Amino acid sequence: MISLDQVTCRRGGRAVVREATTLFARSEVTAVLGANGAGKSSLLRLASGEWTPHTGHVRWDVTPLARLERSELARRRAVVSQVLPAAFPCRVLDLVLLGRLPHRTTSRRTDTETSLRALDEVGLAGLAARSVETLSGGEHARVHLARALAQLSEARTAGDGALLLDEPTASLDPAHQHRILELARAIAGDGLAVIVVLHDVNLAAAYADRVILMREGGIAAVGTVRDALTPAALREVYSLDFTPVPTPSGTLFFVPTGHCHEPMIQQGGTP
Amino acid sequence: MTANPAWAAESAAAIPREATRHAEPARWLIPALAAGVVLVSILGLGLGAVAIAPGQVAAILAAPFGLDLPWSYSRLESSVLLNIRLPRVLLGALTGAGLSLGGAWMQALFRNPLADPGLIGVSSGAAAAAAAFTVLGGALPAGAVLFATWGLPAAAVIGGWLMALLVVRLASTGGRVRVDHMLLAGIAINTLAGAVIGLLMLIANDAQLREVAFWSFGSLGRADEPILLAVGLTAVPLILAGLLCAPWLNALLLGENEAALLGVPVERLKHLAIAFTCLAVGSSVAFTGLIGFVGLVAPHMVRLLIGSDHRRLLPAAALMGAILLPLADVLSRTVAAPVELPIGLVTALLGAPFFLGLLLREQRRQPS
Repeated sequence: MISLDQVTCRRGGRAVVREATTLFARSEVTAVLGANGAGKSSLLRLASGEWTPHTGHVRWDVTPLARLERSELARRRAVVSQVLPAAFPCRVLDLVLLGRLPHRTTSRRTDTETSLRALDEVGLAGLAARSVETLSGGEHARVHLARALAQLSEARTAGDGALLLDEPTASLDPAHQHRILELARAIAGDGLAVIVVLHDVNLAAAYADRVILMREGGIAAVGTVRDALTPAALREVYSLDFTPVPTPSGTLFFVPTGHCHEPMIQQGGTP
Repeated sequence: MTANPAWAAESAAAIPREATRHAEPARWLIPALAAGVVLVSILGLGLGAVAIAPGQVAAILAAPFGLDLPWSYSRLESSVLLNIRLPRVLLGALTGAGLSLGGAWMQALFRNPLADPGLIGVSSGAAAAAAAFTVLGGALPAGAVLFATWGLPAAAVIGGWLMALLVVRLASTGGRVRVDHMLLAGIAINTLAGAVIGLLMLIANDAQLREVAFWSFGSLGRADEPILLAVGLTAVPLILAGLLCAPWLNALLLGENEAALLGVPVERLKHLAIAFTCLAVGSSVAFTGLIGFVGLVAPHMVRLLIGSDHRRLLPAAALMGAILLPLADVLSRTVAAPVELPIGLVTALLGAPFFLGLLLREQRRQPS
C-alpha cells in the first residue's frame, strides 16, 4: 500500500523525518506514537503526499506518490488534520459534501446520500442541517471525519484506499475516543490502510495492528503492539517508565509507573 | 459500512431550532435578486430629468422587437431611454456584477469576508494610470480619434493589471503565491499608488484636477454602445467561467492545505481568481472610475443571507452587485438633480455606514 523508503524531510533547516522506512498495509490500523515534536505529523504528511521528501521515496503500491494525479489520489486517500480548519458559516452537510469534490462524475443526489451515510457513521446524522458554527469541538472533529469518509466511499467499496488521521481523539471524551477508533477498525475491515497518530499508548494498544514509535524524526520501533510497545522502547521514546498489565480481553494496558527521566526540553533551545 | 450503533441514539437527537439558522439556504434569494435587478433597471430607465413611466419603458423596449404595447411615448423619451439610460443601466449592472464577483473571489482567496477586490492593487493601479494619462497625456502624440476615446480606459486597464501583477510577483516565492504576503504587498502598493496620484494632482492644471477627482469617485456617464460591448465581452464570460470554479472556492474555505488534499489545484486556483478579478474589475473600472464598497458589501450581504456555498453565493453576489450599482446611480442622478453626484461618493456614503452596522452586529453576536 503506502510505503516509505529511506525518507528524509527537512523543514526550516531541521530534519523533521530522517531515513524512515516503513509500510502502511491494507486492512491494517497503524498507530504512530511519539513525544511532542518527534515527527509523527510530518510522517503523516509525507505518507499523504502533502509534503514531498528531500531524499527517499513514498509510493502507493509501486507508483511514486508524486506521479499520481492529484484528483486520483484524493479519491483514494483522505486526511483529517490535527488542526481542523475554522468553521465558516455553512451546514454540516455542506461541509461533509466537500469530501465529494474529487468525485466529479457522481450526481448531487448520490453525493448527498453518501455524505448523510458518512454523518450517520460518526453518529451525527441528526445534525446534518445544523450550522457548523454551533458545533462543539468534538462534534466538529467528527464532522471532518465524516467528510473523509464521504471522500473514501468508493475506495471502501473497492477495498483500495487509505485514511490518515492526525490525533483524531484530541478533542473527544473517552467514550468518543473509543468510538472513533472502533470506526477506524471498521474502515480497515473494508480493506483500507488506516494510519492514526495518537498520544494515548493504551488506545494504540487496544486498536492498532501495528505501532510505529518515533523519536527525533526517526523510527525508534515498529511492529505489533507486543513487539513494539516494550517498556524499554517506551522509556526511550517518552523518557518515562511504563508497566504493561494484561487485561481480561487479552490486550495490554500500559500504566505510567516511573518519573520522567529527562528535564523538560524546549524545542530547538537549551533546557 | 454500517452506522455505529453506539451513536444511533445521538444521531436521532432533536435539532434545536436556533441551530438551524443556516440549515436551509434561502432558496428564494436568487429569484428575488433577479426580480430586484429588473425592478432597479425599470427605476433607472424611468427616473431622471425626463421622467418615463414603467409602461412607457416597456413600450419603448418592446418596439425594436416589433411589439406594439398600449403605452404612448414621445420620440425624445425613446431617444433618452435607448441612447442614454439603457447603456448606463447595463454598464452599471455589468460593473456592479463584476465588482461584486471580484469581491467574492478575493474573500474566498483571503478566507476573509471583509476582503475587497482592491486589495491586490488593481483599482489603485488603474487610478494611478488614469491620473497619469490625464495629467501627462497631453505630452503624448494625441489627435487620433481612437486614442481620444480609448486612451484613458486603456491606460487604466493596463495600469491596473500591471499593478496586480507586481503585487502577485512580490508575494510569490518558489512558485507559490503567499496570500498573507499578497495582502501586505497590496497595502504597500495601494499606498504607493495613492502617493503617485497625489504627486500628479500637484502638477495638474484645474481641468485635469477636476477630471482626476471625478474619475476617482466614478461615474456611469461615459456609457455608450462600444464601451458596453467592451465591458460585456469581458465581464459576461468571466462571470460564467467564475461560476465553474465555485466548488473549488468552497474547498478553499477549509484552507489551502485541506483544499489541496481534496485534489484542488490550489496554486492554479489562486492565479485564476486573481486573473478573473483583474479582468472583471480592471475592465469595468477603466470606463467607470473608482467605485468603492460594492465589491466588499455586495458579497458580504449575500453571504449573511445565503451562507458560504459559492455555487449559490457567486450568482447571488453578481445579482446583488447588479442591483446596488444601478441603484446608487439612480440616487446619484436624482438626489441633487440637476447636479449629478459621483457614483463612488454615493456608494461610499451608503456603504460605509452599512458596513459599520454589519461590524457592530457581528460584535453583538460574538461578545467574547
